Amino acid sequence: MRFQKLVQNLVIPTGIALWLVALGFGFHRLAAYSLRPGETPAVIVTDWPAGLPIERSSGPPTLIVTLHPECPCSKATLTELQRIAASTPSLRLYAVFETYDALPEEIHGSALWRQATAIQGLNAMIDAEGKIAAQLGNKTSGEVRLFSSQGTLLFSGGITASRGHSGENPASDAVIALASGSSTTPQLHVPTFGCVLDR
Amino acid sequence: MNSAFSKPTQQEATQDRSAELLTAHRRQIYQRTDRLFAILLVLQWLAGIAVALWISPRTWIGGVSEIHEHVWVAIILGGIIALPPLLLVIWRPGETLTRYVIAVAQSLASALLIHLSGGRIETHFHIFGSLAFLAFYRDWKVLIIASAVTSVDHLLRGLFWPQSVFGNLAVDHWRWVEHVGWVIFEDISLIYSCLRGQSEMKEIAVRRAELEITRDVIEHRVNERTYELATANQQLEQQVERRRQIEVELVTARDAAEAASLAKSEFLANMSHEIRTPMNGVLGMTSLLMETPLDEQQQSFAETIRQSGDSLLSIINEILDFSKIEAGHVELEQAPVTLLSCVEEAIDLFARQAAEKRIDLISLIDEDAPACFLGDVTRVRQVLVNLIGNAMKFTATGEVFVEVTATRIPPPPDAELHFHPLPQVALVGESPWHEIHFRIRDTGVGIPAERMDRLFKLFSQVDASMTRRFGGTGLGLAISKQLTELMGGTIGVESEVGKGSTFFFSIIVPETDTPPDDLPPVIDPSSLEGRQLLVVDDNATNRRILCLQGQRWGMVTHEASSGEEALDFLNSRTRPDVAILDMQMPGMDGLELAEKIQANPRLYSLPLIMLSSAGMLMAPDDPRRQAFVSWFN
Repeated sequence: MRFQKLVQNLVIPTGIALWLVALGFGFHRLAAYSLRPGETPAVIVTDWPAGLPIERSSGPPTLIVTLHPECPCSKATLTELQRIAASTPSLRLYAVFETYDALPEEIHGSALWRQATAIQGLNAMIDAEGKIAAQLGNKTSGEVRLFSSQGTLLFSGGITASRGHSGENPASDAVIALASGSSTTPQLHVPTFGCVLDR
Repeated sequence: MNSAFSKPTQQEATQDRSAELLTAHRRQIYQRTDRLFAILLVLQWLAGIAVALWISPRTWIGGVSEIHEHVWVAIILGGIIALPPLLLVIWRPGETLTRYVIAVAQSLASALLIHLSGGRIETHFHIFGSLAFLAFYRDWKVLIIASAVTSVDHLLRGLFWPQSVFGNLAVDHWRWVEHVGWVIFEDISLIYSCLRGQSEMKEIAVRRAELEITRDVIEHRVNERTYELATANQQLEQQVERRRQIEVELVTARDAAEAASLAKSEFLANMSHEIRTPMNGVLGMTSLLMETPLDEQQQSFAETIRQSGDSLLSIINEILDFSKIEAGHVELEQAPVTLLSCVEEAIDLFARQAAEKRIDLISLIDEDAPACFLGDVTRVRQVLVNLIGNAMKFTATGEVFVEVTATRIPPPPDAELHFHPLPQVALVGESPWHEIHFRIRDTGVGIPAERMDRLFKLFSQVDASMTRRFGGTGLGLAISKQLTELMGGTIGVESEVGKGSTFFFSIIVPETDTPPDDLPPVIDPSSLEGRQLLVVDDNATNRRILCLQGQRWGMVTHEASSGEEALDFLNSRTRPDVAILDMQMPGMDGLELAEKIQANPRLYSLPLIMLSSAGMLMAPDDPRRQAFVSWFN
């Protein structure tokens, strides 16, 4: 009888404690996933790759972002890119979409393509065999390369602070600063949050 | 108020009951809100999964995809958030722990939603909505717990990962304080609302408790009253039953009394009849005896025997009458009656007595009264004689005035009963019925008001001394009453002590144009039309009656209340055609007035008529009679 009562008295506190632990674990896991960056390239290409099928700007810097057409995290990247484009209208923008056999729909019909092409001045293009990504050394969707008119790499990495979270962050602010010339300090080791581009 | 519900006790009872009601009401609200949140949590869980599937259904590794982490998080973490509160709602609805856990879960659901939406500022409204929803509990502590969880969440995220909650990494470290401030702002209004709600719930509980207590008190009283009424009703039924028994006994007693009365009446009738026969013999023999040669003493004795016998016979007759009426043996005669003869015959019986007492005995018959009617003249006259006799008996000075009027009425419903068998006479017109009113007014001693109700009862007189002073059996008025009622009328009296009495009775009779044999000769008054009549009498009633009669005949009448006034009139006015002089007048009497009139050469030939109740007192050979052409009495 006493044991049963003891059990009854323990069930609720124990259950509440377990519940709180589970919640803590769940939110921690969620945060860990959101803050887990993509793979960093082993070697960062610091100069404009020769033979890159993209025309580099002779004036303002040129920004190239590689994207997985179905990556949900990259929507935040394009949101930030829109903010960057609005801040520096002279910036030459390229969105390079990688192609895969198992995509559920045509790239041109994807939500990400529509979002990208809606950005003023952005040039969307398809990297049919992944050559551009390979030349740039990009491993993750949403990875950005910013080159000066001389072909010098100014920025390398993602422009969001976590997966799928848009909003002002030091990375996107750095791109704006470098693009506008207010900063000259290259940022070459910024983490990227997005899907893997690996084939 | 009943002691069982004295004021302090009732207050305590109200407090206890209101506390019970408040607890029950709160529990009802808690359970109802628990159920709402159970639904909401499930919907939020499903919505979170839907949002995850919509925004980030799959994650990609090159050309290979798999379910996105957010979908698993929405399913698993969303389930962890929602399921424990659901279990508590099922197992422990309405308990404090349940709503606190719900508060925590709801705040965490907001946190998850904000995260899954990428820190969209719009999803922060979910927090405000959740707080408003939690306010349904009307428990401010729930809001505090939910707000605390939200605050901690914002604090931790603001410190370590501001973009996940503020959508911006470049924010101040105290940005979370601003968010918490808005939550507190809403909390203030919601907590105030909760407190107001609790206060109103308390008021409602107190009112309901008071109503219940009052209802109980009323029910208690109603039960008491119902019991009292039932008891009273039972007592009433017992009384009714007792009365019913008494009524039965009374009816039995009444029947027995009526039977006894009938037997008594029959006995009296028989006995009276048996007594009257020998009494007639005594009176007859006495009359014969008085016609024989008797000395003065013997004559006196015989006269005394005759008077005593008459009195005794009168008493016996009254008893016999009454007994016959009581026994229902009286049958009214229906024969033509002359109203004038009937009245005058009754008055004539008292003319001598009136003259002896110097009382004016006057009669007046209204001209609208029927000359002849069908009825029992003996019984009408009997009533009249009785009432006039009483008036004469109790009047020492003044007058006795008999007035007869009549009202035409439709035939009574029981008219046939009046004529069974139908009379062999003709009735006048289609509605020949009359109610004839007789009024006998005297200026006698009068009757005290408190004694009048016994007048018409058997063997009753105004007081016992009356019998000694005035004689009588006390049966006369009772007999008159019964005879009047037999003739369809009523009888009554009005009187004032010291001023006199007025007895009145009525009979309902049909008029007839078949005159009886004793109809007096009809006078043709046409020769009197326009003639001047002077009436001289100190009695106003006499003057009125004589003038009225003269006017009916078309004469022009003049009045004088004394001899002097009459002489003044005769000397100053036109000479009348005839003058009626009252014999007894104060000052100048009728004889003296006649002498003075005849002493005037202008008036010598004026016809004079003497009016005197005491006319018989003047000898027929008195020379003064020569002054008059006629004498009325």
